[in-house]
Amino acid sequence: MVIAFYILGFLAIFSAIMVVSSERPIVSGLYLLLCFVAVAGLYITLSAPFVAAMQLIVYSGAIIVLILFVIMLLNQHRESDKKRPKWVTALSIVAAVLIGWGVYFTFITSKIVLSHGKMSPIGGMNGNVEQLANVLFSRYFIPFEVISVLLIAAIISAVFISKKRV
Amino acid sequence: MMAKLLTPEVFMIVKVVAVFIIVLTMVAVGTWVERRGAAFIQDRVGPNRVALFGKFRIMGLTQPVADGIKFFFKEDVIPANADRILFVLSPIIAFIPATMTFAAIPFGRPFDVSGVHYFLSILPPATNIGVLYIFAIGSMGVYGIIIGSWSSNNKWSILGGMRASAQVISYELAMTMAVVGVVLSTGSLQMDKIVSAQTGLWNVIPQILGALVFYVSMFAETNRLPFDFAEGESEIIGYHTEYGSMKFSMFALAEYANMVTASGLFVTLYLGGWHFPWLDQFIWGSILAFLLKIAVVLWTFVWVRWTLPRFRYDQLMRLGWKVMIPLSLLNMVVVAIFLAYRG
Repeated sequence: MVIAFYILGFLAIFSAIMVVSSERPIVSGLYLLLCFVAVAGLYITLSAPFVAAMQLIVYSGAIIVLILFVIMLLNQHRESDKKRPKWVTALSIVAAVLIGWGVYFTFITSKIVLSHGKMSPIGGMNGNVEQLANVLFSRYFIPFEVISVLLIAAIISAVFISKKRV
Repeated sequence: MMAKLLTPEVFMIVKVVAVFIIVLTMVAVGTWVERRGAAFIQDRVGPNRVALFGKFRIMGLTQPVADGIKFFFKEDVIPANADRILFVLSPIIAFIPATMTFAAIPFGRPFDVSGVHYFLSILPPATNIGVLYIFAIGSMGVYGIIIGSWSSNNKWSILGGMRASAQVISYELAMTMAVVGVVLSTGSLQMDKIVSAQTGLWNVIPQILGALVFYVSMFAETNRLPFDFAEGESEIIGYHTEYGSMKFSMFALAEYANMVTASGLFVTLYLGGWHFPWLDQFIWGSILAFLLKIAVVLWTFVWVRWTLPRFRYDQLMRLGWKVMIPLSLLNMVVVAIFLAYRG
């Protein structure tokens, strides 16, 4: 499991770097796919097969397909660095480091890490789905429903915006 | 002697090898059945010339071997402006999920030998995502089509790939929601529980609507006629136009492997898995019953292909979004209400 963790972690980070550094949009999309698959593998090493399956079905199976679709439909061109002024590059590097440090700092000082020793995987490999359903439909029932309403509103507004005016 | 050899580890290796060989054999025989079936339906003779050792014709059953040898020795052409890496990679990407999905399907009665439990599926039944595993891996199959069509650098390939991927992701929704009905009535995602819940009454009878939606979506998911927009070999051009030799063959093999897996899934979800009156009290009988059911479903693939003409693309989309998805939702709601009131 530890070896698998390191291989998958390397794969995820490597492909995430390649997403932003590769020249062609399609290749970026495919590296994003690889990244998502590696993250799904990481979930399995954390004994959360249900989350891994959801990751594969929703992100790798549906969202990346749509992203690749849009990229294929749009005009294909190689990203060129020359048009971009140098101070933009410098500023974005600084911003990335700042944001990354902020996320890291919040994570390190958060309760998740402090209570790390007390945590156990929900249900393990076997009772995963039932445990998740119990939590989702009892304690987090209202947020769960609110999110679904929000998603429906987003879908309807997307259809409304893209509809032709007649 | 035999008792010492039978440990769970050895049994697992035997299962993996056996399943891989049997699925690939079914794929090879499937191509033969397809051609002979087409000939039978169109009142022709079909391939019957290839003979084993030049003597035994066996109705041309060795034709797939001859085809395989031909594919291996054909010139391997890569178009000049294609993306070479992705072009080579995409048949592999299409083939791997097609052969991986069968791992979750239980193909026989589990049994105990001297206190140790043996199950007849590669994935242990205790991993409780059974059905989701198949959909998760199966949803990777579309990338073979997308990458293959894009890396060929051919506009007709890209158009074929777009059609195919739009079709696959549309019908995947209906298929998944049809399966929710089965999962609801079983109360579990585990494949072996779905099979044992069908003792006595197969799911196809109480959930005829879901079975129908699943069956139709199955044809769209495997890109078979009447929904074969991915390939469209008779008039429109498909995603693997630029492929030849063994690479083309990999795409074809992936299609047939998908057919075998989809049939296995249909049998497991709706036709009672390895259950069959009298036969399923023996281990060999349960495996035989499962294989027979798969063979019957596979034959309907061939039967439908040579009976129905292809849909038009807008008809396909209308059927998928306006008929199949509402029907699968209806099935889900009916099953849920029934379960809620029966307790």
